[in-house]
Amino acid sequence: MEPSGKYKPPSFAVKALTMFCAERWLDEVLGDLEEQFIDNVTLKGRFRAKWIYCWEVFRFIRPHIFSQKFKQNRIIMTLNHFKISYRNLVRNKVYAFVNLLGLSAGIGSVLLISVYLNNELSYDKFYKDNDRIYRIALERIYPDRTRFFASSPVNLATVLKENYDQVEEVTRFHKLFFSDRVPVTIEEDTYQEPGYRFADADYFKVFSHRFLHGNPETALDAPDKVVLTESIAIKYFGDANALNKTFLIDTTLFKISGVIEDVPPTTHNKFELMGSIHQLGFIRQAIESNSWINPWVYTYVKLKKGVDAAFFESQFDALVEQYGKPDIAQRLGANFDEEGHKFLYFLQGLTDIHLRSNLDVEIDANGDITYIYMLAIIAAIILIISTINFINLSTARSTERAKEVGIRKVMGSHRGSLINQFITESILICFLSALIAVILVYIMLPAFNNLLGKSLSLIMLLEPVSIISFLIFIFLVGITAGIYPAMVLSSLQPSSVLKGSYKTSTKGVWLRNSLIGLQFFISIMMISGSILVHNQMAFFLNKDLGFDKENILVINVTQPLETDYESLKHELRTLDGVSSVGGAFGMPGVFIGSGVFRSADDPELSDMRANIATFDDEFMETLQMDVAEGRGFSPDFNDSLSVMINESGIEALGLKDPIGRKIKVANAATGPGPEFTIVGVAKDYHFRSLHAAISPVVIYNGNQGFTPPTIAVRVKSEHVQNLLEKIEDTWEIHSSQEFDFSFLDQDLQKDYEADLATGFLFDVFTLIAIIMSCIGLFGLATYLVEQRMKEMGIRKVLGASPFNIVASFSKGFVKLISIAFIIGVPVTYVLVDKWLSTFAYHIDISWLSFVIAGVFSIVLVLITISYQSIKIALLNPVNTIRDE
Amino acid sequence: MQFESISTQEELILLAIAVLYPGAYAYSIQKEIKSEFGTSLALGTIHTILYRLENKELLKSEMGGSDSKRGGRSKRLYTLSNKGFELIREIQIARQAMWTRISTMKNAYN
Repeated sequence: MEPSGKYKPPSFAVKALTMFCAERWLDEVLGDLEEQFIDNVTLKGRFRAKWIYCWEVFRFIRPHIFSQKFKQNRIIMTLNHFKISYRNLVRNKVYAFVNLLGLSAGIGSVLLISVYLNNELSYDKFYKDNDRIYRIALERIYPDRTRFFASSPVNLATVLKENYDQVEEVTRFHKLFFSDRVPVTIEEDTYQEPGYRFADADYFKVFSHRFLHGNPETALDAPDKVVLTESIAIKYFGDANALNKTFLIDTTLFKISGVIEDVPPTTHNKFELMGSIHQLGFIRQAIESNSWINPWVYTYVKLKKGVDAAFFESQFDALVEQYGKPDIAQRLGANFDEEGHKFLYFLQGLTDIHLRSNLDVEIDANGDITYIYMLAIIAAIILIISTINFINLSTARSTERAKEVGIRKVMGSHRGSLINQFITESILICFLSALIAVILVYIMLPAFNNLLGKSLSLIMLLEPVSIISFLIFIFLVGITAGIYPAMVLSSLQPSSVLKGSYKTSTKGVWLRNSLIGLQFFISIMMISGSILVHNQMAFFLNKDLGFDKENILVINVTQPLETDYESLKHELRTLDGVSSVGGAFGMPGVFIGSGVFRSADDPELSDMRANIATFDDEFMETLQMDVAEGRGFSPDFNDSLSVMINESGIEALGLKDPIGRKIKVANAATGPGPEFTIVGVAKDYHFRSLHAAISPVVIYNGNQGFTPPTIAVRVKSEHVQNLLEKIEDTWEIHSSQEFDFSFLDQDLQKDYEADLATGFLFDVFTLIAIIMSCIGLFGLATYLVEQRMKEMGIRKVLGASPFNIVASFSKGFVKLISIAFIIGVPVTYVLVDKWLSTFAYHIDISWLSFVIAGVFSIVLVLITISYQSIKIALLNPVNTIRDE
Repeated sequence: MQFESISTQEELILLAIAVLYPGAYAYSIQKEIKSEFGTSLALGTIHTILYRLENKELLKSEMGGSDSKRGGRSKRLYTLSNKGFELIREIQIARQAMWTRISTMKNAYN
């Protein structure tokens, strides 16, 4: 070649062009391109010239340039593949149904789980700068134990703001301890809205909320200002623009200083009304006294850009030492750190709180990251099962397709194009299933939301990124599921299949068997797992709590009564259908505070930290709690200086003979308080959820002038509806507050909602996994029947009974299940054991559940394959051995 | 007057062919358009347009001599058909007529 042709155009581009360009154009096009290339080498250098060459070749991808051959092979054939796939689906409707059902259940489950996970993982992400916002939590070490609080003392925020220059903003807010409902009165109407919070003026500098009306800078700068969400504003005032309107809480007037957009449900702090923290007397006092003790508020910091959170956290060591010491010493005594009291603060990333934080005094019950992992694993498992099914079903049909493949090959089809055909087919089926899956999920989502108490939607799927990843995902599933059947089917030899003596080799058997084995392994795990999860849930709901939670109506008292409590109690008790009435501060299931107690007459005994409750004389009787020793509170005695302690408390104090002994509050700040006489020992009862072990409780007696925040009414179960109206009537005589009631058993169940929801999810997906395993098994049985038709025919001729045939056919499957069972049981045991250990009270893993799972699987397998095995057993051997 | 409807790109290519007569082929057309108008059309684009114009019988083509620079490959030389030449001429006349009218109002657009 001539000197100027020293550099050659990139050969792959030339090849590509040659491949798709029609013969009649090729010569001139190559000529033009090369002439251009040589010019470009001199003008722009060879690298750019090569690049331009490739680009120009790419630009030649135009219909009229394509060779006929290329058009036929690539486009027409693909259309033909679609046509054949369609015909195949229609021809064998059972197969198509089973296949589509399996795959769409698989894809649907994955879709549903990913919508759920996406929702769980999106918590608090809508806040601006969420990567720089942290909550400060407290690791409180007592001499005898350690507790982790999500909340922190009031003074922390002030100190951080004044002394740490890494901090851009700090804010704190308070959520009322017992019920976050505050009675809000507008003209005549009183509303009890949950979601009332009390925050610093800086709240909206840390948390970005869009203000529809009002100014975020000044929205909370006075004690009487309140910010509402849009929907609350509309509910109260009929108009989103409620600025400067007012409402009453008790007799205090509050002014609306801002209306914000509704807070999305995906936040760990879902509030509706945000008042000023200075509205609360006890917080004001704590702020004035620089309190470092009581963890009453939630403190959040927004760090400056580029601040290393870990480094910032490491500086907290000096925090208590430097700023908190005087106040703490005042309360706990000067030697508090030597006695083992420690206050360690740590940071929690805002977006981690929902899934990774499970401390004491969380704002609301959070999610749990282990459930997230569990669901992700289940999604993967279901997807694997459905892919396996597809593979099994497709290979199972190879006898049917063998002739087609043979004919195609004889007609001149390459193996490559056959592989193409089968993969196209599987991708098509995947897309169809995906379509069905989307529709199914769309239909099922409302029910799902209902059961989980979430508001999931498919809207997230409309984002371009999700659409593209979903399509790619479906495409990949299609290819994965299609590749093995395509290889198997395309490898058939036309000479032998067309002769009619088609038999596949045994080389695929091992793979198919292990796939089915894997499915059974998963099914056995899920069946026994869900039995155990159910047992645990039933255990939770039915466990003897130390009191009778049934038929207890709880009245929440949030405003002072207009008459006295005793007369209300008396009138309620005389109602027909009410068996007893008792009030308490510290209804089971409600959070109660704690204090430190010590024995008043024996200084040797150790201190005890105990939760503090106050019961009136009838409360224990109403809840049917038992007294283990001594007596309960009674109007026959003057019990104002009497206490009851639960059994755990007595044990913690180390008292041998508790009745008549005295205890006092161990609090250095207030000096030696009054001494209380122990009059009775209450039998341990579960005042918290069963997630936590029973700890010491000291019960005061509430008598003179006591108005409990919660009143328990034991009703006789027959006419609850009637009775409710009567109770409400009685209530209205005694209070101006709206009648606010609940049932104790329902209240208590709320603690287990997350567990119940998980249990439900587990059930659903177990069911799906079982159904899909059966589908896969059915496919495999169909395949094996085809394979062993002749063998069974010969057996029959030699004298085997139909029963023998069924047995010998089923033997292989039973063997597979047994292996799956042997591997599945220990794995399940370990996993379930780990899950159960997160509960303070849990069941023992019973072997029965594994036996049930095993027997259930075997029965299921035998039923699933019975159709095929009986078919083969009843076949006339004449028909099966004939052709050869 | 009723013209056959053609696009600006098509018109440019027809013009280039007329200018380059008798040496118009895809690459020389690309160079011509680049030097006169500054726009780079891909060879693929030009090829497609030429194919289309030939189907509309606005131009004719024949395989021409090869060149050592093209690795000895022959080129397809394009010439305008009568119809094609008439078309660009008529477009030009119509434009010219409009431009004369515009120039009298020139000040309005300054």
